Amino acid sequence: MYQTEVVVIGGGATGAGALRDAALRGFKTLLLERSDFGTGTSGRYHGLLHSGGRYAVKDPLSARECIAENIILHRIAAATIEDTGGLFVATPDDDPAYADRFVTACRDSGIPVTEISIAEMLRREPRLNPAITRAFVVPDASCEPWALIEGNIRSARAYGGDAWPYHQVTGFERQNGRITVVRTRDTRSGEEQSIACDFVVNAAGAWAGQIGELAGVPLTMTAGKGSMIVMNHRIVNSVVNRCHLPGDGDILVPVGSVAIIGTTSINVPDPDAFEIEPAEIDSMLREGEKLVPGLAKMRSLRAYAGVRPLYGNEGASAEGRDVSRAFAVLDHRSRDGLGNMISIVGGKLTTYRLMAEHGVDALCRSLGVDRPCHTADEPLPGSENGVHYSITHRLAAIEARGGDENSLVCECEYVTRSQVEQVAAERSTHDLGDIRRELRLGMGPCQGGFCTYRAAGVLHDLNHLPPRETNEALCHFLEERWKGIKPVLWGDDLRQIQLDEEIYVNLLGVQQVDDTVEPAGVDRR
Amino acid sequence: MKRRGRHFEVVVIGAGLSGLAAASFLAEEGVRVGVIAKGGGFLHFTSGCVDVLGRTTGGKPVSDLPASVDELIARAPFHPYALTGTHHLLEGLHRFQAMMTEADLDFVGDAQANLTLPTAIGSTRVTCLAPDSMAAGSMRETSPMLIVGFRGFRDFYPPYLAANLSRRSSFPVRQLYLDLPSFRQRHHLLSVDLARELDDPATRKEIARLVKSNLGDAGRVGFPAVLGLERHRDSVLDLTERIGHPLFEIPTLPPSVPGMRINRVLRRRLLRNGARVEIGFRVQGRFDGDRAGEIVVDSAGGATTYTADAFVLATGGTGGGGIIARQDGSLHESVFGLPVQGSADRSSWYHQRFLGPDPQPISLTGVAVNARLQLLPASGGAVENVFVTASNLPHWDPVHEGSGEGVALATAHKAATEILDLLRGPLPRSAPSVTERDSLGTAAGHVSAGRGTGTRS
Repeated sequence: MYQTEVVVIGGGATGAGALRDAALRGFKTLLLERSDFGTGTSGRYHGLLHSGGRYAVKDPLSARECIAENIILHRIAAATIEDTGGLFVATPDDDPAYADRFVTACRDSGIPVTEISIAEMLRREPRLNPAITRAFVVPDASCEPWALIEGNIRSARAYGGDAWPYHQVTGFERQNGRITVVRTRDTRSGEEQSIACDFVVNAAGAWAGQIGELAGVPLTMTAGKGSMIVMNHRIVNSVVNRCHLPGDGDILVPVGSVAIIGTTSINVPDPDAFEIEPAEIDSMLREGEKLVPGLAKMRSLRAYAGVRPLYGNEGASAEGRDVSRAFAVLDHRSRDGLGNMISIVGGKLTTYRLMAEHGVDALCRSLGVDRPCHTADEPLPGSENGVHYSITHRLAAIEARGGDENSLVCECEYVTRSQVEQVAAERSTHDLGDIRRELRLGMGPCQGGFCTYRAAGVLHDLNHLPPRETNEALCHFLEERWKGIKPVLWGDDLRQIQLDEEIYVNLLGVQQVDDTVEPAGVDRR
Repeated sequence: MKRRGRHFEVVVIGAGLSGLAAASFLAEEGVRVGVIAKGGGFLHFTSGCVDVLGRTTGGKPVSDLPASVDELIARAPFHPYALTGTHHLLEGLHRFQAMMTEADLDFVGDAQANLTLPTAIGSTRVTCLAPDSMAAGSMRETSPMLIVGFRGFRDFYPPYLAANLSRRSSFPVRQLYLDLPSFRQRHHLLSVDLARELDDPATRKEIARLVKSNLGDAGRVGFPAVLGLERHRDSVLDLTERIGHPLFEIPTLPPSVPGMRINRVLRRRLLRNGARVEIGFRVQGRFDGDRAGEIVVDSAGGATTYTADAFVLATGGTGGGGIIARQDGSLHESVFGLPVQGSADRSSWYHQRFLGPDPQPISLTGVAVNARLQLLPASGGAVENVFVTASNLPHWDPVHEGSGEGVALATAHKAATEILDLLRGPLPRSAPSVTERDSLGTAAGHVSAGRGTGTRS
């Protein structure tokens, strides 16, 4: 039986952070994730590393946590952050009195805030609405969640930790009020495995309630759906927020070659089953117009939604944005009489490290050991030189090598054949989604229309898998892209998808590819 | 009011297969035609084959083509084939084949049966007419294949293709990557770049030498569809001779070299016949009473007005820009701005799955027409001098049916015939080369027999 000291459940930012934190404190730690890393809430967020400004007026505790962590992450995770800076802007639709409250609240929370003139704002961001009345600069940034998670896992591995993707927790064995064994199933091979452990950290986010149920501890999580739209262009170069109480469609985040507008807030019963409503899309584009006139007529590439892991104190039934974005660490010994499990609930990506620190502090207390946290001091692998991500880094890297002999697989996101080969080999994966999360493959304007076929061909060249598996990877990737495309299917997106249909259904015949026998008499020549 | 303007007997809007074919059919009857289009046309994105009906509603490949077309017409009275009848389909196919043959771009096949050809992922697709350069890929043949690709060309993967194809073939399929030194410095090769390279005898010599030394037991050699653009015929003949075995092309991702060859043949033919072809302009149509009067063309030097006695609306439906689908759920025809019927609920435009068995519902929308393909506005009678073709028509889906080029040619021929009636009265013109019968099966034999009788002015 596999033996470890600590099992962390959940491969989002919080779980990866807890894995790293525990590993750095010398615990032998294993992380289990039911799918790929960063496929729950962390991989489906807008990409905004908060300064805390968004919470300053309404949720000062969250605001203070955000600014402290923002500063730490700039130091330890520079390579995953594009230091875009952020703006809070008051549009004619916003309560003019809010701006002064905002400034005061930011100062109270220690968030650096500077007002700039509208002329200066337009110089920085020419697309913004010239009717905006006030503009404030804060240290918001854009953060790549998958790189952040990967950095945490790599760091943990260097300290003896490990992380298994595609391993679902199926149950626990309890003895004398303690968990002794975590049971898991490899979702790809179906293989079952038991893991003996001393302590369990439940970092399953919106799914933490399901883990609690398996462990026999009641835990009520609320899944707060937030939808976002990916716009075809990098409309802005800095994060832009409306200067008002948080609402729908009031954040615009530059991410790589595109920009993301978000969000909405609707509670859903099941974190695995939700749709994006046309009304959400319409509302975000309508609100987006107030920030960037003409936005609703620009091309939207896709929409996606994540579920916020909201934790209101049990009994309270606050809705969506009224639930605190602060987090909590639940010790199930005092709470439920289960001696060696904690749950880290609530929170947001910006404060993942702090959540992990508090979680592992609780673990130490529970085990009666005193080991200090080091995650704020040591940079993540790849971020040691403190250089921030920049949108031109891929071109710069190729230029530094004196050119690239390799052909481009994805023109939209500038992904070369050698990059695909490298990631596929390193991760021993043939899931195009896994490659996408590392390289942004298929995340640009054509949404996989051209690169899906190419990446499948490259994977096959590399692995010589049975063709059925390559076909499955190709079809699965197209269906996954489709999920996000269909909510914004009008205008040019509709034309694009009809071209993609022509390519895959008609030209390549993907629907017939696994028919191994030609139907009799088709070709009578 | 004085305006910059020009008059044609017929203005065709759109430069896809149906637009260029309709214009050709008319120009050959001496009609003064202008073709104007916003983009280069959908031929640049297709296989370069002529699909007439590839799949049944259940997604199964069509085996008995005449019976399946008859069955489709009986079952779907609003399908474009039901509006044109098989006569115009056969005429369209025949005239297309003849025009291509005259330009040394031979097409094999006829309306009696479909061909089954390999695709670039090693699946197969069925089609009615295929360029001669693809014929040797027929899955009906049993001689072993060697599939050849080029290192550095990102749109063709021989190992993946061969692995899939050999699962369904009764013959061995081997594969080979060629690493040509002359391509090594050419990053990011596109199919068109390769085709131009293959126009060059020196490149062909190099390729033939490498293929020949790796032939093994192969009896035929498959390449991505890049065997020459301007000198395609020379390229294929020369390579075949050098390699000593039949060659065949396999269509791959756009830009489509086989589609571009068709596009060039039709455009050059139009110019020879005195037609005018203008690409790159957005047009807006205006009514003059209950007829279309003129179109206004947004050109660099300002707006130009074209008047015509009749118009062909060959603007490509929702995929081509002929029908604009908006965020508010409304659908509009793009030239005359007419509303198009359809559900205003965007979420009903598509299925949950991308690769499901049925067409996405939005693909089935189109501009309403009468039995003569005349534009039918929401209220009032038909617009007598506007004829609608191909993807602008409702109740069909080229992708799932595998019928894009067949419908394009049938509706182009029907529209051209109706326009000639309108302009010149229903008088006898050049004799039809196919008998006026109502079934593809009974008339089909005449397609091959009548080959080469197309008029050439």
